[in-house]
Amino acid sequence: MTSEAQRIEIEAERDVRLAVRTAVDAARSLGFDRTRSLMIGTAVSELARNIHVHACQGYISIETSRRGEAIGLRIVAQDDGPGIEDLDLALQDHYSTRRSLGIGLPGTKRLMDEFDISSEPGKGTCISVSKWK
Amino acid sequence: MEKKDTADLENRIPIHEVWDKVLMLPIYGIVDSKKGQDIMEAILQKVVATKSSVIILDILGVATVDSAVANHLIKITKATRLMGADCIISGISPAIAQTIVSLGIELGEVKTNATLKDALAAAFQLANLKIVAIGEG
Amino acid sequence: MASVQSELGDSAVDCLRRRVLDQVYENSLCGVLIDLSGVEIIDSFGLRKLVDIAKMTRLLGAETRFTGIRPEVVASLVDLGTVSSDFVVVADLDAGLAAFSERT
Repeated sequence: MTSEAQRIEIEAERDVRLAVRTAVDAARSLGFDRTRSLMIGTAVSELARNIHVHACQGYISIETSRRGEAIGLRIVAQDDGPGIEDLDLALQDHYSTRRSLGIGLPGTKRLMDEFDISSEPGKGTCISVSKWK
Repeated sequence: MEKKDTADLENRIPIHEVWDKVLMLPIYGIVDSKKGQDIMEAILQKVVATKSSVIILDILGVATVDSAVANHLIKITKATRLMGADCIISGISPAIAQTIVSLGIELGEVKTNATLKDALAAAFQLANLKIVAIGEG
Repeated sequence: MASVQSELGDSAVDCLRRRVLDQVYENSLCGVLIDLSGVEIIDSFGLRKLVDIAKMTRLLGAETRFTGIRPEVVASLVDLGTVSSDFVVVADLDAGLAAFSERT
């Protein structure tokens, strides 16, 4: 069950910062402590920057997530970029196309509790991550 | 809410300041990911508060050291390095040494010692301290 | 010594890099200390740019050290993954100065 989704289109670099700020604020208001809120912010920064660097259009959506008694934050990053050909390779540390250290995707996975990715070359990429309080 | 968490963490994970800027934390029992995370955060807090330059992690009391536990320990040492402090792991028994090598765990640059005494000596050196007996030059 | 007070957005880091490299070159500096205490989020892109600055100053004959990373940020950096050996952190200005003078 989810509610209150916020959606931020990623076109310019300031949209990346906006997405990060929005996610951190959402996490804080849900009661995540400072450290975990910044972890979520860092994950959003990775996802949003990937969209900014690799795709023409994309968005970040931030929504509260509930599973029974547990409450969490769910982030979805969707873009229309070139897609990822070899997902297994992309999820290994040190695989990098450009501009980053190649630890972004696996790093994002480690920062969050849940990580789902679907991508097809030419069709874009959709990544969904969640962190529970 | 943050202040309460800080005090709570300090109670559950008491880190000793054995000398100026030298910290020591004995770790006991099971080290799962929650414990690993708590230890890391407690250490980060203490390093900031005391401006310490070295922390000794004594693992003599740790139940088992498998690759998961080793990874938590390595993460903790990385975190202390990012604070500009050094980390020494002591309490490595022959059994643990054998386990680590045979599991193929690479500790890399992490400094280790068998005994707390050796680790203390190493820590003092890192902190540019020297112990001299009274009555000697 | 350079102090970063805001987020590591592309333009901010590029500006930092330009200023640092110019200073090192014009004044024949041997050490650069970059204070990151004003930064809340460091992602792999930002980290790469900082490491690049360190590599570039080294080519110009100066070593770069980083300091002031907040504990909350350290927690994220550790999850992010392996930190390059070019990313060297010192505890504070004093430690940084001590490290630099040892080398000269």
